Amino acid sequence: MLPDPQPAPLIPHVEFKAALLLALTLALVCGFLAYVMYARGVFASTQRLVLVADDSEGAKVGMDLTFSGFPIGRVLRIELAEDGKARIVIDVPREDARWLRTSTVFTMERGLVGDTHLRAFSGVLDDPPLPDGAIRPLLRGDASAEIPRLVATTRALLENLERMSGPGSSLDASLANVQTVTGRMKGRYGALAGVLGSEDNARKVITALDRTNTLLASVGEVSNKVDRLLAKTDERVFGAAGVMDETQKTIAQLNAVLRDARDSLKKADAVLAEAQAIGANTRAATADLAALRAEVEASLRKVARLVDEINRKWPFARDTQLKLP
Amino acid sequence: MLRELTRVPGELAAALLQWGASWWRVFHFGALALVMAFSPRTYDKENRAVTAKQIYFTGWQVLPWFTLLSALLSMVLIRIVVVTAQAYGLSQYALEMVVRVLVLELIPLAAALFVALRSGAAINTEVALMHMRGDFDAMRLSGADPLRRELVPRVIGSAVSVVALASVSATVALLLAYLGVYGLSPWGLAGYTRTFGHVFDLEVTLGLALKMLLFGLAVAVIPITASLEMPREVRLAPVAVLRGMVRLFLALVLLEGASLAVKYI
Repeated sequence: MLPDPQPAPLIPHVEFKAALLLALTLALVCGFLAYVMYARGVFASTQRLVLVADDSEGAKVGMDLTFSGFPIGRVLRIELAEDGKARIVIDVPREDARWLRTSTVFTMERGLVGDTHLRAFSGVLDDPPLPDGAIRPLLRGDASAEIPRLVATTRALLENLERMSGPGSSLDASLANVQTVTGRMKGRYGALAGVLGSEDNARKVITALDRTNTLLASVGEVSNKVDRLLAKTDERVFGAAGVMDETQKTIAQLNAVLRDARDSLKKADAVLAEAQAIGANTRAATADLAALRAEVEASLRKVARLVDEINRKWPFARDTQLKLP
Repeated sequence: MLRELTRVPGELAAALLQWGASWWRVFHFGALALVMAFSPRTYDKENRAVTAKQIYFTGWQVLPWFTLLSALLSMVLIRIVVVTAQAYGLSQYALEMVVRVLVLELIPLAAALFVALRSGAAINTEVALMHMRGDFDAMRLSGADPLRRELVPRVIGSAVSVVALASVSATVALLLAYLGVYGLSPWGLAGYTRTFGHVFDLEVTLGLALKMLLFGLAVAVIPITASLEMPREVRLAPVAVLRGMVRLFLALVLLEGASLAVKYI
């Protein structure tokens, strides 16, 4: 026999609690939406950047553009342009756009594992900033595209290595030669025989070395003699009453002679000044001579007129020739 | 023999028709409940009290326990993901994966399953018994609308509870994810915000909202419909509960599968 159903116990403030739960849920949902909008950059003012690439493979909407490892922009959309190139449109918040300059280089790299990365490199941060809506080329680096080339190169390298190390190869022959040489080195004359080819040659070299030693000894004596000669020469030239002393005295005398010559020249200078004064006087005298000549000419003309007068008045002689005394 | 052969397709067709009609009733009742939930006239004084009681029982009572449980589970999962990602050198993807797995998939599903287990089954039994005892007919006779008075408040309570449980747990999980990835340092906030923005684009956010709404509706609507379409025999009450719960789990799994398929396929 089941007990009779009891009336449900009264719950205190049930409506308030329900309203509280509703308010909490609403607040969480609204906060979540606001945070999503903030995180997606709805409130940030952005500028547009268009990257043009030959191939957009690996790029996807929403991926980051990074600068020094920090995300500074987000791919908004990827479209195919009229010329068949891929246009990757990127939104860059204005506060992060200062890292992008006109000289900035953009790259897209694909690793073997993991995502494709869009990167910006600004070498010169003093360049003018990138304008809104700028169109820039995108350089691509693709690790997986390098693999076939890498494999081909490796194969060629391995073939070369095999050819080099095989029997009858030059490396093999070189090693055989090295063995012969080291075999010789084990003989009486050691490394010398190895280098020169046979023990006879080595012996000759040793004899030559002995002779050279003798020669060097005699050269030593010669140099001693030269030393003594040099000491004597030094004494004769630079010693007391040597050549240098005499030369010094001669120079002192030469100085005195030169002083005399200078005095003589000064005198000649004075004579020349006087000669110049004489020349000036002569010029003045020449000017007076012109006046004198004019006077003489006037006197002559007067005499001519006087003779003409006498000739007219002289009745006996009709000789027109005038004889001056 | 021939009669047997002709009977089988006939029975199959009838079963299929019944199945279709049953799901149709689910959608019809769901749409009706949604419209009534958004109509201000539903919330008169008596209805407000019933709805508040439903919200209290379904959401308020379990909120601390569910939050604690989900926080514990989140912490373990975050730790596993972060440690594994670090071991493979992919720690930059750990946060995104944690947010995607926990906030977008596991926590809404867990909240829906929790409310379904605790309140869905209770609603299923209660409504089935009320239906069989003829309480709804009595209400109709006395001039009250049982849909408005008894059923819609349960739907609203379940939907609000699913959203409340999921949003509180998701907030806790997001905080734990930050702590798990960056520790107590405040300098990870910019990167965290960025990853958050990456994960929650418009489609994902709208998809999450739609999924939560459908989960919340399904948790109450499917059991109620299953109870109401049973014949009025008390011995069939367990069948009503069984059918309602199976259908509810099927619906939840299908919704989750569809959401995953839309996002990742």
